Amino acid sequence: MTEKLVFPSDEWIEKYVDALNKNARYEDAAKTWEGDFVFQIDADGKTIPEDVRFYLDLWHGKCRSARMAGPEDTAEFVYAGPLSNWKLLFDGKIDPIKGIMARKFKLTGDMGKVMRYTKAALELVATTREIPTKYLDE
Amino acid sequence: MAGYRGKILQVNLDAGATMVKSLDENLLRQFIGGAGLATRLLYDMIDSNTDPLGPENPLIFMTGPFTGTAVPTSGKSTFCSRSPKTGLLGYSTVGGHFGADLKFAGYDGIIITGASKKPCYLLVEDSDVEIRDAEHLWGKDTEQVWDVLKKESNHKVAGVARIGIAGENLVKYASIIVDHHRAAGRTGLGAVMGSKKLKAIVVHGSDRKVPVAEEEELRKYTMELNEDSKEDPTFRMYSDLGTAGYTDMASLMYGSFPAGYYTVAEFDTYNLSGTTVKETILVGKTACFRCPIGCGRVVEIPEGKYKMSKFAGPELEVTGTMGSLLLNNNAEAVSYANMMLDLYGIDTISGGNTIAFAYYLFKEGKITAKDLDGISPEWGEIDSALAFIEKIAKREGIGDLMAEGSFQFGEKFGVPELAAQVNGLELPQHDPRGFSGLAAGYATSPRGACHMAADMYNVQMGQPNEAFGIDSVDRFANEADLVARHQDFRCVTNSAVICNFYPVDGDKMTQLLRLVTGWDISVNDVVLTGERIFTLMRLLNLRLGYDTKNEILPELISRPLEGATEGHVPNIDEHLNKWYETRGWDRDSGRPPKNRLRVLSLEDLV
Repeated sequence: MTEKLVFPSDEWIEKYVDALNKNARYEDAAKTWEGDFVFQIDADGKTIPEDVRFYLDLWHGKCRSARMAGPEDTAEFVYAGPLSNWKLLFDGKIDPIKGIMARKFKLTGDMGKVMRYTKAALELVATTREIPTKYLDE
Repeated sequence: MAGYRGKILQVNLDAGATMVKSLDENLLRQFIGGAGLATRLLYDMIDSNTDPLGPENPLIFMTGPFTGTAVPTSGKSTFCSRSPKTGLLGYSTVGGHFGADLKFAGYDGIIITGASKKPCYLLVEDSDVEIRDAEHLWGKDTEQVWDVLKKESNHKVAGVARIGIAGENLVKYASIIVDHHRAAGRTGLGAVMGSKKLKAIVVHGSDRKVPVAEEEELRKYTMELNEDSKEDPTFRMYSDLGTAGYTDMASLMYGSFPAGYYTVAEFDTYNLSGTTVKETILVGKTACFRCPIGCGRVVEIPEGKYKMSKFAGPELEVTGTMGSLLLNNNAEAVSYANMMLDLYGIDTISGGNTIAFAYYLFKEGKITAKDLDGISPEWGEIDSALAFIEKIAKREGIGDLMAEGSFQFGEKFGVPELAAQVNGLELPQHDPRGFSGLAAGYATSPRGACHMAADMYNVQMGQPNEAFGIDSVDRFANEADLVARHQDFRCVTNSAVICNFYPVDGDKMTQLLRLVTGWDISVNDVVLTGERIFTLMRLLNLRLGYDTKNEILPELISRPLEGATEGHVPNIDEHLNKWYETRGWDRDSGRPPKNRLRVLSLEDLV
């Protein structure tokens, strides 16, 4: 049985970047995308005492670099939400744009730019399903 | 009577007389204002024998208790009449500042009856009301009329509602253009105005303080709402990109933005979207009264084929009908077409649909260039559409038939079933194959295919409304029960009146109503009021000949498409079963039961 990796962690990110860079659908949908993201799991005061963040530098259909991030890290976009909503997202119960529209996630950055790459956003999420994942509260 | 002026201005164009009538507070508590109150007043004035374009059909303009107050987006108000387009209830909600101006002049609404023998316009300056000659305005476009009347009335910022040449020529989907080119576009009320030879209404009010029950509390609450709204993604998107900012998401993500007259699964809207407009031809933004969003665009095209001076830019609907529906992805061309439609005073949805239908039938070989006065439309080009717009406005040649609408156009050529319309009104640019809730929404809407009476795309994208029991799970599921509840909610917002784009739910609406009117009301009272208004609209429509056999979707919408809709087609029959079950109404007759009418205090109307 494949070992589950904690989301997010260095190990999870490494696997994810590998999978994303092999995803031809993502590469096609994001071939003109230029922009980096900080993804944030919001602190809930219980399981997650402080915000947990990771960084992806996305460029022309590939991920150029990725790592866990600290509170001081900045990026063109920040996509943030509580762990419960990240689970809904990874389970396909909500899509990344619906997550924003339903205010389950907060996007900081140029929304218009993101709207142009909704297919790429779907592929970013779809790729997570290739990673055996366990969550911070498991 | 906080939130209201308590007065309706009545104008009889037959007699050239005006009078003022008091409003009954009990009526206001039951129907609030806007679309609800206007429908209730209309109910007593028309029946199935009323000719929509006859002098006996009244044109009602109605504000709500929010109009002109500190409530955000409270510049909204409603025109209402029997629709010449559908034969059913016609109403159209519009922004600008015209509604607020009327409240400042001391009135909650205007009821116009009869018809003038010659062109006229109505000038309202507080208690001074005058019917003036408009021979010099007849034949002028909506921009020219606006300019002339601002000068003539000596009020640079007067509220001005006017019709263009399409309204004069009784184009069945003529719009009423208000202030900075906001349109009361749907259901052809511009033609009603034209039938009365009423070119414009000009309003200037000097008492800019509309009384509200809890002024300080309202101020604090609206500040809280505005602060919270800044986090709302729809608010942010419309503010930054205009409503056409939704284009990319609708087409790429959800497949709900129709293309190629509802037959093409995927069309690249990159060059059409609000983002492109922002990056290329946008030179400014406009906002309606008390609107913190400012979705209005101002564009300018300094040179080229579609050269135009500063004018209102394209919003989402015209981006669809003059863009993707024609497989045209040129934002400059769409902007130019939008300007023509606004200047002539033509509903961009019905007009654009009818034109796209001509393209489709031509390409399908159902009609020939001979049928179209020698025009041979091709997907992707818009010059044919520009020619059709002019012909429609002037009712010239084939334009005379096209001015009747899609159904009549299809009927003439033996294919009425291919017209994308419901109950006589053409489809907005939100495809039910992308959001299933639009199916029952269109089929049961009081005014035909309408996205504003139940904007289910917002609901099914995840905007919950706990007070009304609305929380969507799946955009492809049968959520017709949510449609019924959302229709009720929209009846409240369209009556109060507040913009659909402002993010409020049932709880917030209840609190706003309390603070503005001083009524001691609960959330349940507001829910019941929404149901009462929707039910009233159905009762009026039944009186006008509404037939449940017409609660169907266009044939083209029943064809599955690949792409983001994933081949989904809502089963309208199943959706209607659920919708009728939720409402507890009879599916065959479409009639609400007597016991429910008693609960809603509507039993006296049948």
